[in-house]
Amino acid sequence: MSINKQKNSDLDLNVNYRNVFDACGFGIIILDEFSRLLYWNSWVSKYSNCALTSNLGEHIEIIFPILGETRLLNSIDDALHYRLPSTISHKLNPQPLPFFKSKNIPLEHNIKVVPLKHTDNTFHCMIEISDVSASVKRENRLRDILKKNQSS
Amino acid sequence: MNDKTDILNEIQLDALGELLNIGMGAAAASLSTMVRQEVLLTVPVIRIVHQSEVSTQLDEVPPESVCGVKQTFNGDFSGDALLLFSEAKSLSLVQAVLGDSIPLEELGEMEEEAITEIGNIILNACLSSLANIFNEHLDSEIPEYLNENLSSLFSGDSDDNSFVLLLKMSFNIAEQDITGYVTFIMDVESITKISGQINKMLGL
Repeated sequence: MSINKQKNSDLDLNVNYRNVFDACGFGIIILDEFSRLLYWNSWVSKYSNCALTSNLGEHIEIIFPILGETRLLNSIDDALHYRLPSTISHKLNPQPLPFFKSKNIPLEHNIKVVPLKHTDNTFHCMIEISDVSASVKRENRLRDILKKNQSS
Repeated sequence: MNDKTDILNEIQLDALGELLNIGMGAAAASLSTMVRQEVLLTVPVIRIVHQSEVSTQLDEVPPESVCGVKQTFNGDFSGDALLLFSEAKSLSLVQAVLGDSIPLEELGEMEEEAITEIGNIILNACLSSLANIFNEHLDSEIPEYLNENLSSLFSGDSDDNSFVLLLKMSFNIAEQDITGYVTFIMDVESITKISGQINKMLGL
C-alpha cells in the first residue's frame, strides 16, 4: 500500500514531541499567556547554562532580567495580546538573550516570536532562537577582504 | 474597471489615517529605543487605488526594483501588508539606523534581516491599529524580505476585485527624511468591512 493511501492514524509519528524539540539545532522557548515559562529545549539549557526544571512557571523577565524594556519583551506582548509574529535581528538587537557559546564568547542570535493557539483558545507564544555566529563571522571577514582590496 | 476606489470617503480616510498615526507613534518609540536616537514616523497621505494603478502612485519608487517586507494577514479582513522602498531608500534607512556606510552592492544577509525587522515593527503597528478598529484579532504570517519589481507584486488586472489601501510613510531618522509606502492588498469585501467599522466608530 502506498503511503498516500494509509489512514491518517497509521501515519502517527509515535514520538514524544519533546524529544523532537530536544533534537533541534536551534532554541525553542514556549511561554503561556502570562509570559510564564512552559518549556524550553535542550539547546536553550545548553547556551543559557540554566536548567528548565528550575525555571518552569517563572515569568520570562524574572529568568532573564536583561529583557526589561527590550524589543523581545515587546514582541512577546505583540504575540500574546495581538497574535502578531515578530522577527528580531542580531544587527539591530545585539545579544537580546544572555546566551554564550562558551565562557565570555557570546552566541550571536536571531529570534522569531510566533503566537501559538492553545486548545483552551488562549494564546501562548513560541520563541525560536537561531545561532548566526557563523554568518556574522563570514560577513565581517568578506567585508574586511573587500575593504583591503578597495584600498590596495 | 471596478471603480470602488471611493469606497472610503475623505472623512473615513482621515479617521483611518489618525488611527494609523497613533500606531506609528508606538512603532517609532520602539525603533527609537532600539537605535538609541529619535525616530519619527508619520503617515501624511492615505488613499485607495486599484492594483493596476499602484505603480503610478509610488512617485519615489522605480517600478523595476523594489525592496520591502511582506506580511500576509487573515481575520475579519484579509490580505497582504507590504512596506516598500526604492533600493536606494532602503539602503539609506539601514545606514541611518545602523550608522553604517554600506554600499548598495554589499547589502548582505544581515542588513536584509535588519530591514525585515524594521518592516515587521511598522506592519505590526498598522495591523494592531486595524485590529483595534475591529476590536478583533488579525492573524499574521512571519514577515518576509522581498526584492522584486512592482508589476509582480501588484499583478491584478483592471477587472480584478482587489484594491490597495496605500499609505505614504515618512521616516525621520538621524536628520534624514526617508519616504516609504505601506500597502494593504485587500478585496472589496474587506475594504467594505473597514468602511462599516469606521462608520460605527464615527457614529455615522
